[in-house]
Amino acid sequence: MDCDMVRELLETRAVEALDARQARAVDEHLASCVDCERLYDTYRQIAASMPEAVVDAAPYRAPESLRERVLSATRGERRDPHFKRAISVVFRPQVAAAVLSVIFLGISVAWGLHQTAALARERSLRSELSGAIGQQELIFEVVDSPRTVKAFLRATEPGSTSYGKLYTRPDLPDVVALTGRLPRPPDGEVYNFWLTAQGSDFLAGSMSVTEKGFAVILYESPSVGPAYETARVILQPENSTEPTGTTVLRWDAPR
Amino acid sequence: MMTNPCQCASPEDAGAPTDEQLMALVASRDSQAFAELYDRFADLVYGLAVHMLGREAAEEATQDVFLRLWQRSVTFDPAKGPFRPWFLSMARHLFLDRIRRRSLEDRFSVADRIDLLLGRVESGGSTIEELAWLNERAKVLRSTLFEIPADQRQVLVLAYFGGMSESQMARRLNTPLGTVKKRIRLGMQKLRSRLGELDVFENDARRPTSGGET
Repeated sequence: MDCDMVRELLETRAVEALDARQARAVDEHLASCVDCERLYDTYRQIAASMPEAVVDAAPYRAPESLRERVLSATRGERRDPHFKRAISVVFRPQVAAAVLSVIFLGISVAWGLHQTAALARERSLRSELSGAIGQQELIFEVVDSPRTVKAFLRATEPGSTSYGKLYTRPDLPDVVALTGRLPRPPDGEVYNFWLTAQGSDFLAGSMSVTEKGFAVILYESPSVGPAYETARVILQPENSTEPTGTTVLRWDAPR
Repeated sequence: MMTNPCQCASPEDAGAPTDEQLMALVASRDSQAFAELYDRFADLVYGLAVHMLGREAAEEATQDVFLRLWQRSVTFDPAKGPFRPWFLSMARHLFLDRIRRRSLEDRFSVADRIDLLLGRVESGGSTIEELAWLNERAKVLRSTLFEIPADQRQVLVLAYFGGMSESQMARRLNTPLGTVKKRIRLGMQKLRSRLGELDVFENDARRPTSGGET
C-alpha cells in the first residue's frame, strides 16, 4: 500500500472499523512511514478522547464497595524486592527466554516435566509476541481472552524442538498462529501455514521467521468461530499453491 | 487549574506522581500505587462501563478492568505513549468484548444511546474556544462531536462504542457501504480540522507527559 491508499483508510483505522486484513496492511505501512504515522496519531488521539467526552456528558461515581473489592484482590500478591527485580528482567525480550527457562526448570520438579515444558513454551511465545508486535490489539484479543481456544502444533521430525500454537475464538473470525524455534528456511523456500476446514486445504499465510525462530500470522476466516481439522506448517518453495513439501509442525483435531 | 469532570484526583496536583510513575511502581507490585491509580480512574472507567454496558454489568466490568491492569501492568511501555489513552483503550476493548457477545440490535442500541448523549451539549456558559484555552479536552471534544453532522457522528459512535465494522453499519443503517466510509472519513476530518483550529492536540504534543494524553 502506498501513502495515498493508506491515507484514505486512516480515519477508519482510528475508529477501528476496518476489517483485519486492511488494518494489518495499514499498520505495516505506518510502521515505516513517519508522515502517515504522524497523521494517524492525530486521528488516534481524537478517537482515544471519545470515551472521556461521553463520560463528561453524563458522569457517574464508582460505588465505594467496588474500591474495596478491587484493592483486596491485589493485597495478597505483595512481593519481596528480589521478586520485583525478577519481574522487570523477565519482560526484557532479549533475556526473557533464558530467565523463563530457569524459572520453569525449577517448577518442573514439582509439576512434572511435560506440563512445565508446555507452560514454558507458552510463556516464551508470548514474550516473543510482545517484542515482535508491541501493542497490536487484535492479536492480543485473540490470544489473551478467556474465550480463546488453543491447539498445540507438534514437531514431526524426531529431535526437533520447534513448536507452534493456533489460537481461535468462538466469537471472532480472526485466527492467530505462533511458532517457536523454527530453523531458518533454505533460500527459495518458506514456511507456510496451512489449515484444513471441511476437507479443504487453504493457505493462511507465509511465516516470516525471526532469528530466534519465532513467527506470527494473523488470518481472518470467512466466519466467526472457525473450526479446523488440521493445522500444518510446511516448508515449501515460495509461491506454492498446494500443501506439498516437508511438514515440520502439525496438529490434528481430536476425532 | 482545569476542573475535573470525573472527580478524579488530578495528577497535576503539586508533587503528585504522574500516572506513568505510578504504573512503574504497580509493575513492581506496589499496591499503594495501584490504589492511587484506582482513585484517579475509577469514576472514568465506571462511567464508561455504565454507558457501554449498562448499570447492571458496569461494576463487574470495571473490576475486571482494574484486575487486568494489575495483572498486566508490565505490558505498559511509557516509551510508546502515555498511560491514560493506553488504559482507556484497554478498558474500552474489554467492554467491547462483552458487547460483542450481544446481538447486533443490542450493540446498535448502546451506540444509539451514546450518540443521543453526544448530540445534546450543555455549554455551561463557556465557549468552545474558552474550553480549549482551559485545556478542557473532554468538553472540547464533546462540543466538536456535537458540531459535526449527526449522520457522521452516528457512524463514529457505532464503530468506536458499538464495535461495528463498516459493512455491519451499512447493513444496519440500510445505507451503501461507500456512504458509510465517506461519513467516517468526513466526520474524523472535521473533528481534526476543528480541534486543529483550537490547537488542542498540538498543544499536548509539545508538552511533556504529565498524566494527560498527548
